[in-house]
Amino acid sequence: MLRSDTREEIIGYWEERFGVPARTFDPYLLMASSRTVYLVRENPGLELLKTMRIQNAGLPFIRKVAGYLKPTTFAVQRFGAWAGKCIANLSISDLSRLCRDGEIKLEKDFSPGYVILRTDGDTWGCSLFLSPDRLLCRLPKNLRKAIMQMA
Amino acid sequence: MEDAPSPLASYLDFIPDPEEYLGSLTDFLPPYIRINPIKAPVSRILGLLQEEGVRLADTGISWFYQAASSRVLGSLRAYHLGYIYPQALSSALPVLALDPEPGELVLDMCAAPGGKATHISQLMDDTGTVVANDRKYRRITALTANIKRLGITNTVVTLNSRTILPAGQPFDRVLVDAPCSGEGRYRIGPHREIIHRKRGRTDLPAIQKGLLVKAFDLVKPGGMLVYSTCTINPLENEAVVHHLLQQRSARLLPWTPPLEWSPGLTEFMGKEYDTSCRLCRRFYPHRIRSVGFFLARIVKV
Ligand SMILES: C[S@@+](CC[C@H](N)C(=O)[O-])C[C@H]1O[C@@H](n2cnc3c(N)ncnc32)[C@H](O)[C@@H]1O
Repeated sequence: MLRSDTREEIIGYWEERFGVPARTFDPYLLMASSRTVYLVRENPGLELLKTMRIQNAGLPFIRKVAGYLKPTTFAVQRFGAWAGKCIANLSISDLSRLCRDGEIKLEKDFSPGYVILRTDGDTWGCSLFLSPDRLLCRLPKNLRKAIMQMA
Repeated sequence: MEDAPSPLASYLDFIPDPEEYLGSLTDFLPPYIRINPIKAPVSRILGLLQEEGVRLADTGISWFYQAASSRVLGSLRAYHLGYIYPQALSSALPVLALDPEPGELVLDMCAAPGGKATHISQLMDDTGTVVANDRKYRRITALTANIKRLGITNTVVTLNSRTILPAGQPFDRVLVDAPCSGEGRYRIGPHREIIHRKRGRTDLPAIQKGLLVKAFDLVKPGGMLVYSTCTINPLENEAVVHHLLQQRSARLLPWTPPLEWSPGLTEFMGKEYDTSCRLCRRFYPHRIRSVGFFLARIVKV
């Protein structure tokens, strides 16, 4: 389990960066492994975990990458719908180009950091925005390959 | 009917319309999907599938559709967004029989790659806790990948059965979707060979009996246990349930499935089973146009 100040920092990041209301995460526990923080639905039954050897629990939520917080692809897919800012609305062919070339030009005034990738309202994950106008692909390799084959 | 390949020949006495069954084995079974409303509104999921050229037909089971597509389902946008899980229609049945409710503590003892575990989670609105266990590390990887793709937060993955499962009888419900010979998937190829025949284990009934008794011991008194296989062989089905009924104070519960079914057998090859075994449910591929299945709904008394 995470210390409450670390929990606040992580949930505060989702709220400040993407506008996902902090209360969205009230029903969940945050549990840390070495590099990844997992989101686990809270339930008295979880007490049981203490007596079991588990492989993993819940959904990977956020990682520390080079000192920065990086939301995971799957958490962004699941909770990105609640976001109100730092959203890059792309066409499927732009998304595919991002996956193929690793970087595309995106003329937006986002502050540097992660932005959510959407096509037609569907949320794919996030990538890194750097000023000026650079969007760097940060989707996992398998998903990149799949997206390239879709276009 | 003489040319029914073994072991199917020995089942023709109890399979309804055996001629039709044998004739149907050269047809492909249609593909099905379950849609996952955790990731997006249902209207968006159906809309995207339509955009991607997938033709859907109702099945009579909530969230399940027959899905005709010229593209591999696993290459669709809807798949990579976690909107769908391709799976046999009949694989819904054990989960519907288990009938999990939000907030409960549920164990799926043989969970990989996760078709049923993630369906359980969906019926619980991603609340409570699902413990998804399997014995094989490689299959656990696929299970974890599916949990992530579908965006599920209420599931804990464990490896192996005996040692790591908790002491006591903590679970509201347990599913044992046992390793089996998979005869419900059998198809017959152009050279009369059986397609989808699994090689290997001959000790399946012993493994299945061990798993079912162990699972029973983990259910709360009054809790629900479902045993299922995708095989036709009574030695892996009613005989396993009969074994549990002899060993423990378990009782079979009746159930009216949403697909055409036949009652469980009380006798096979001269061996008699507990008469309540007729409360087991059998599903044949030519009757349901999906993989053949068996299930038993059991309560701990
Ligand atoms: C029929 S498959 C399960 C399919 C799964 N329920 C689904 O819906 O995707 C049977 C599984 O049992 C696992 N298994 C075999 N022996 C086991 C044991 N002793 N304990 C737990 N799992 C076992 C196999 O690795 C296999 O993944």
